Amino acid sequence: MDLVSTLALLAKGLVVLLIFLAAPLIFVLAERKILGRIQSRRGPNRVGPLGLFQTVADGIKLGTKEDIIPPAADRVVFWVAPLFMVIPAIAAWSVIPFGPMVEIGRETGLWITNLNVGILFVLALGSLNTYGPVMSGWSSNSKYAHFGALRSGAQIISYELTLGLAVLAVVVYAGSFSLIDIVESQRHMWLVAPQFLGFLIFIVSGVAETNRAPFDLPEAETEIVAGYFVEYTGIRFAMFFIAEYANMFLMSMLVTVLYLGGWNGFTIPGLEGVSGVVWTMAKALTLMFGYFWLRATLPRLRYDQLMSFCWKILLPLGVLNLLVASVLRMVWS
Amino acid sequence: MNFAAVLFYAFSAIAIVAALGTVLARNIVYAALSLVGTMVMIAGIFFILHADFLALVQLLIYAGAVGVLLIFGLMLTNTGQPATGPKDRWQRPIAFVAAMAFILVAGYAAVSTDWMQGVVPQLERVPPAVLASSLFRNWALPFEIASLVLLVAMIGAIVISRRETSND
Amino acid sequence: MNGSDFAFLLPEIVLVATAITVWAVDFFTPRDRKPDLAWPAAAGALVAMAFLAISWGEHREMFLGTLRLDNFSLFFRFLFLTVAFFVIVGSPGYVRRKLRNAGEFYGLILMSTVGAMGIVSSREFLTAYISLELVAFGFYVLVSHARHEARSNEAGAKYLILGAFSSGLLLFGISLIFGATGSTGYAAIAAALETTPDFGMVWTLGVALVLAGLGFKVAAFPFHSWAPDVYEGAPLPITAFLSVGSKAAGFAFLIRLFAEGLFPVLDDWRVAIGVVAVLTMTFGNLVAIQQANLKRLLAYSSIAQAGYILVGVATLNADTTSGMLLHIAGYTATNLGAFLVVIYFHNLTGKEGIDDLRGLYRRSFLLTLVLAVSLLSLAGMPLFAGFMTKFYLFTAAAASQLWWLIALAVANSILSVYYYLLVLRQAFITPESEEEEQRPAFRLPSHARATLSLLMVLVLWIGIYPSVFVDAAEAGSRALFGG
Repeated sequence: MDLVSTLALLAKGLVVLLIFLAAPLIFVLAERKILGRIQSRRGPNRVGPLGLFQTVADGIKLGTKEDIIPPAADRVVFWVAPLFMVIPAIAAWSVIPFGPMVEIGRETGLWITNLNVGILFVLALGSLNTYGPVMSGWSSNSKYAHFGALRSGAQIISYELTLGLAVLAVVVYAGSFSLIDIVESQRHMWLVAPQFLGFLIFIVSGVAETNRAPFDLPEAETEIVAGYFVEYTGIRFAMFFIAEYANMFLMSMLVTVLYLGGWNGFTIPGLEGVSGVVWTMAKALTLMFGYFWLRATLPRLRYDQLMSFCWKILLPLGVLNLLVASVLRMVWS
Repeated sequence: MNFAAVLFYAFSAIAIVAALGTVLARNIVYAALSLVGTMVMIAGIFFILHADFLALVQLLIYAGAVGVLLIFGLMLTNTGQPATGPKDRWQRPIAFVAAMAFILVAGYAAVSTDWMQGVVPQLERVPPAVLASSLFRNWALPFEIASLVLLVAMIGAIVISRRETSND
Repeated sequence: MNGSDFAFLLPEIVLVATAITVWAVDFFTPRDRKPDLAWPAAAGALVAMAFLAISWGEHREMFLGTLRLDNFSLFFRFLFLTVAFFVIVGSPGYVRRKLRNAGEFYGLILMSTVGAMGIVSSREFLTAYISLELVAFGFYVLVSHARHEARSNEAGAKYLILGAFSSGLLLFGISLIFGATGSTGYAAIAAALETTPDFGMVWTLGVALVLAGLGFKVAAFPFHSWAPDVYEGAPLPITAFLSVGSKAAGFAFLIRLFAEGLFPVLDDWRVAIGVVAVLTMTFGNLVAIQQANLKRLLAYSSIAQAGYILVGVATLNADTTSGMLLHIAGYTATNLGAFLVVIYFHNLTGKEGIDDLRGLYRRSFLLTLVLAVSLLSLAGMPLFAGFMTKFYLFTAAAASQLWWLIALAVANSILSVYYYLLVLRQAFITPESEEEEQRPAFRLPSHARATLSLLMVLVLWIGIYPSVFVDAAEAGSRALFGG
């Protein structure tokens, strides 16, 4: 690896890291604004023009607050648990493509790395995502946190299965585990068309994986206060937030890449790179809006409903979808 | 020593320390977390050996699913009482001697062997498609038997843990 | 490998299908009818046996030689199906009295049988290992199936932990052998041994670990300690299944491994295996003498029997292999007979002590007769299977000129007569108290009478006119050794 490509890699990494850190700031504000509109309120409007600096102020506040470790907590695990939230969330971004191959002095892809098992990499990190909630919930030594952790653990393991099944059907169509190849294979037709059922399964599982409404039982404010991170304060609390919004955005990017054709869309000649990034972002941001919309619209599920929905409806559907996809693929080729 | 070798020794060292932690930790959740650490490090070693698919499956299944299920089970059953030591302490020195003897023999075996004698070292990245066709053609039988093993394990788990509706 | 080859796997496919069907039907069966699911399960075993007939005399390699269907595997596959059939047919009375989840119980027996059938056909470590795990997983659940009995739970936990540990040893050994030779296939290992006779320490350690792992499975001496507790705690039909099915599977693994893979280095291991054999049989016999519980007695006696079979492994060649096959067949029929007697006796009385056998002669002639035939056969008395098969095995082993081994095996065989006769004395001679004399005679269900008679005939047949069985055993041995 020569110097230029090392530098390019570093630059790409830096950009992704910036997105990772900035995303929560923007999305929390967007969510509050959108929720406000949907509920006929104004949302935050005090800090800065139109309340635009609200989350910045919140961030500063969280950063300067006291970092409390409850006396009954398991100090070591309590201390490292937030890291287990953040690390998988950021690592997964390394295989997400933002745009096509472009010419910036030399050929380079708008992604950090093209792993030939990229989608598996994302899924594997997703499965590590369980440790954050479980470890923080256990170490807090508090009932609410414990319940939140149990719920989160069971929920993420269960929906990970259906998520994986939906992804496998995509892999069957694209013939590759690489996210870049998957996007390339959608040049003529977005996979959402032949894989509509898989798309729905993925969306539902994705929302559940990220613990968002209507599947937000692990942090259900009205039942268990805030779930697994109820005992956390200050910057550690902020880490949970960063991880949550980063994961939501990651999930939106995944849907974009797997089903909505990624950077594919009409392009302005000469500006393929820019239009690719614009397309990807437009699709992902639309999906993010969907997240907020869901939260404003749907009531929370009951826990047994959540589990039986996954195991008795989603899982059989996922298997069926994979089966049909495989058979169709075999017939066509 | 190249970069891969440095990584290999680092991963191996952490894996061994974590494995010791699994066995020696008094707190059972620490033991489980150490086990997860070992699994992750082994996944790392697979990565160095260019077995990307295997590494990720190791992460996905062992570090992800199995580890979480373990900790989950501990959380559900944890009584809050500290673990008590084994009752027959007199066995400890014997066990220690036996274990050390085994480590010595195995270590000597590992060091004294010319590992390149029987095998031609081939370290190339195998694309998932090749792996799949090998798994589903040549090794289809063990693969199918493994699925039966999992089926039996699943049914067995239900049989053993199912709450019985009425009593004798 | 082509599609038609799958016809030769039909017995296994039928068993799996039967197991899944039984599990599914169980769902719709009212609770009091569930024990009767034994009949469809047993029928599945019979159908599988019929399909097995197709592969008579066929030698076929499948899946790049990882699987080999020959007369050796045919012999054992038939044996396992027979065992499964008798265990299942012998179960319903016991299941009705003691166990829940009857459908799962029968299905798991069939699944373990599939695993055992996989072991004997594989010529490759990983396939054999995963089949062994299928056997073991079935047994872990079956052993602890009597959930409300503490002893069964304890047995299940012990079996699980020691079984997992021994699997670990086996796998570690396999990985070392793979590291040394670069293959897990028996043929490739043998070829590597031809070119490189000595792989050094890692090879020795690998083989030793594999032997230790398999030693656990067949309950050979230093690795036997799980056996008595597990045999005692497990539901009776499972004890019977363990003592014949699981043991035979372990030996089949050993025999094929040594015959096809490790034969070039066998001479290095003969004495070690011989010593293990002697220790195993001596220990089993000495401890069996002290037992008051019939199940434990049979457990130790089966440890001793494993010792006799190990004599054949230590002196492995074409003749001792057919001797071992014959002995395993005879032992299987004999031990099944003994255990079925214990099962039916337990069903009727709820007891399993040796003392409880008093007056058995008066209460049920058939039970006493089958018990006598089985125990005398286990003891190695002439006219019964045990004598004929041991005679055949030990004479074949004598060719190896390991005289000390043969002498100790024969001495042990004579020693064992003592405790088998102690049991028979209770059944025949020891007088009942007056109160006990009032107990009514046993009424056995007709299927019980049929299976008991069938097994007794088998034992006598092997004992008196074994030529059919000898032919089958020799055909099996020829599959491994050629000629």
